[in-house]
Amino acid sequence: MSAVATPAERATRATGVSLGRLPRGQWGTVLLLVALVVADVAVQPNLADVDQIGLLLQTALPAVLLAAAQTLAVLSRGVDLSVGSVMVTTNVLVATKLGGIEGSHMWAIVPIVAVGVAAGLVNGALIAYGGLEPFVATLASWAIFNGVALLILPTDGGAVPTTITNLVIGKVGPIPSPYVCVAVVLAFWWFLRRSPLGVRILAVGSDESRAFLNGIDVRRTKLWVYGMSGLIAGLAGIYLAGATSSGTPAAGDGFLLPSLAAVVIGGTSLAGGRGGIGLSVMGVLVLTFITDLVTNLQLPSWVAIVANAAMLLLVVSIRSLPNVLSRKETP
Amino acid sequence: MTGSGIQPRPAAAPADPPPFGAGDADGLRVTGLGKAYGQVTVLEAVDLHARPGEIHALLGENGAGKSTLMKVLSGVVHADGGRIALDGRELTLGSPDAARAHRIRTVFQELSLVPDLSVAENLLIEQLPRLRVVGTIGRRRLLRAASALLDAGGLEGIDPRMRVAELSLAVRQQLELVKALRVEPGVLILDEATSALGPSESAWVLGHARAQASRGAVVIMISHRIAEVRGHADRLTILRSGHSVATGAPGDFDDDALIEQMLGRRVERLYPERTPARERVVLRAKGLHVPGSFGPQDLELREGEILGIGGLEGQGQRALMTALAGAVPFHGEIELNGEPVRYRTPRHAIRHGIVFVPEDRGAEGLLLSHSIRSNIALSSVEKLRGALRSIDPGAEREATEREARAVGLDVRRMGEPARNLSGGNQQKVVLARALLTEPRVLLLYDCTRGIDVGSKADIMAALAQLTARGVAVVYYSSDAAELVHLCDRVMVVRRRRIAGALDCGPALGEEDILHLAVGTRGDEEEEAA
Repeated sequence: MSAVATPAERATRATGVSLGRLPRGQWGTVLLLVALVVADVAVQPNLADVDQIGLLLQTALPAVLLAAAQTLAVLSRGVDLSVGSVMVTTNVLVATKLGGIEGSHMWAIVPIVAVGVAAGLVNGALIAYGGLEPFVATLASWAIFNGVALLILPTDGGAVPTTITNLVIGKVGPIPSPYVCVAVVLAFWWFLRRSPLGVRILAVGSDESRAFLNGIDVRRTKLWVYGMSGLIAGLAGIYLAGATSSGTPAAGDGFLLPSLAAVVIGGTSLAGGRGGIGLSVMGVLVLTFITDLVTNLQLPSWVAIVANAAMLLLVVSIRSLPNVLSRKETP
Repeated sequence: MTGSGIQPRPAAAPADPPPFGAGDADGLRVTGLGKAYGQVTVLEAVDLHARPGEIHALLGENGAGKSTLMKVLSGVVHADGGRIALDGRELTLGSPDAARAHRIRTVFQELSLVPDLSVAENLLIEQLPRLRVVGTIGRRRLLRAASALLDAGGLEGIDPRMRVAELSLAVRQQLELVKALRVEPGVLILDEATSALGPSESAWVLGHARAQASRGAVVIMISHRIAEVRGHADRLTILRSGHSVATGAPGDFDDDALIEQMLGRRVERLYPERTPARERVVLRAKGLHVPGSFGPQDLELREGEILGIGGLEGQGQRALMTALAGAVPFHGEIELNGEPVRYRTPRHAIRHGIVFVPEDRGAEGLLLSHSIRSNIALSSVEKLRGALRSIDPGAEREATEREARAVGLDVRRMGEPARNLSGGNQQKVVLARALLTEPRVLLLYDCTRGIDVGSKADIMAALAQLTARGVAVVYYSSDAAELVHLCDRVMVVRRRRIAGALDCGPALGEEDILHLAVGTRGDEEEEAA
């Protein structure tokens, strides 16, 4: 500490708390991710290549997007169980309704994106204005949209316009597009966190009644949250269609719990108000690299599943250690 | 504001409402204000007139309706009836935004700062859209504006980037005032704005209040500290049970008159005859200290004694009780029947015979869908085991019915789910459960709050029986009358310390407790501490 105390230092001394600029656990997650990447590259040296990593990112991207959508809901002290089923809904729409549409006619994608937004807005309206618990409202829409997807396309198949496929597997200038997509997600969060809406979301998630006292429209904020969640989940479905060149109506549920796991591993508080999409993206990457590592070690696939769970427990336990050691007052 | 239909009215409403009151510089005038939550009437007929340039204090017991009145004036709660006028214009306060549009600014007791946002974001939360640079909030602009506010308020030491949750309660309370002063308020409402503050910070708050009044603002201050009201308020209004019962200058009332107005008439006697406490000390605490919340303080509890814990709410009583119950870590030593004991969890405390009954029946483990019988048996299932270590139904029935009778529950209803019971009877179930564990020390935290008089009388009678058998009771209540009439001794807690202990007897009155609680009598002003 310098001779002259800065205001921050004075404040720290006055209140006896440390200046935790970064959320606790964030650095731990960063280190974990770096360790996993290093281990993975050690096992599989040809992974150390921009295109190879890009391929890994490409498979991870639907999960990245869903984790981003989930993060918004969790930040507002909610949950969105419908992210996976909204994703497969737009996914099968792309695979069935865009046959033969190419190039400059791609505006036809707009109504499909709108379906995702509409799904999210329905969730949001039920939660914000209908007074339903987020868990209940999105549990219902989880089932409904899974059903809708199967109605539109009963089995895997369909055809995806090559324009979309090329966008997903191609490059933007010299950069492989998966990198660009991840960058866009991070930029979206950077922008949102610094917008009044972002502050409102955090305020609502942190303490709804205090947010209300500050003149924040709690209900409209929640509507925004679930609307954006639906939008991002819808985009994930379009991306998935491009990545697999087909519609996969039953793939949604495999993404739901990992989206929550990624949020938790990243360090966004399930109690709302703290965390962010950047953290959740790290969470997805942790899960991706673990799975990849297990595959590269040629271990059976159940090991990957257990390893994912073990990672979740490990990260969460490390994070809660300080609380356990200094027992907090019970309410 | 919250979506449906409520439109914040702009400060200069196009159609001026008809004049009301004395016109231009009339200040804030409230007439006949009423508010009920369901069956419970909180405000019935409140009149209040606070003039520009004065600090107007609002006094009343806990539950008199002060905070509800403040919430109505802040647009948080909607009144059912009555009129509110500012400078002769009638106001409709449909939302916090509407109140703000009229430059009514409130320093809320339950602070309005959002814990997970930074100081800067909190201070400027209403302003955020205006601080945008290309869509995002300009961080520099935000920090600069926040620093300017902090400097103007005299809080240069606070880093605007800090998360509010990391700040102490005192600092948060000061920030709350700085936030309210962002816009020059026409009406400044301080809802117990000094309750978490020490003397120098209190002086800081009151200095700001005076400065605003001198500017011509209406300042309304709720305070429990009578000395503070005498020192700083120009006029005062006293609320009791939702009515405004007196108004005038502080000099018009002596302390006794103030307290009599706050308390009103005495409640009729519902307190049982008690056998006096014995001499033997059951529990002795030395240097009991919950950092930041209570103590360090010594404490003795005798066999068969009911030791009352009094004082204004939130002075550290809960920390004292939960520490004794093992629910909160504490420093200091506890002796039970002369033997030193150590316990760190409620479970250990219960093994030592120290049982805590909290105030919140619903949240604290009444299983509402389970029968009354199994709720009473819940903490004692180990004792009720029979063959094959399963619960012996006969023993369970016998034991639970014994305790149910002791607290005045109808034993014919033992099979009914607990949710069928009234609040008062639910509290009896919680008490019966505690009794079945055969406690040596019973800690009761505000267990009669919000229950009917009949249940109250039953609980009092059960306590009298219990203490006659030698059980010791520590009894916290926000109702001073209960303390005076039920207990052997009353300890009044003020600002985390025991301000004094009073022996209960015919000579003791509620006002003696209140005097100690608000600091008009007793160990005068440890202000320097």
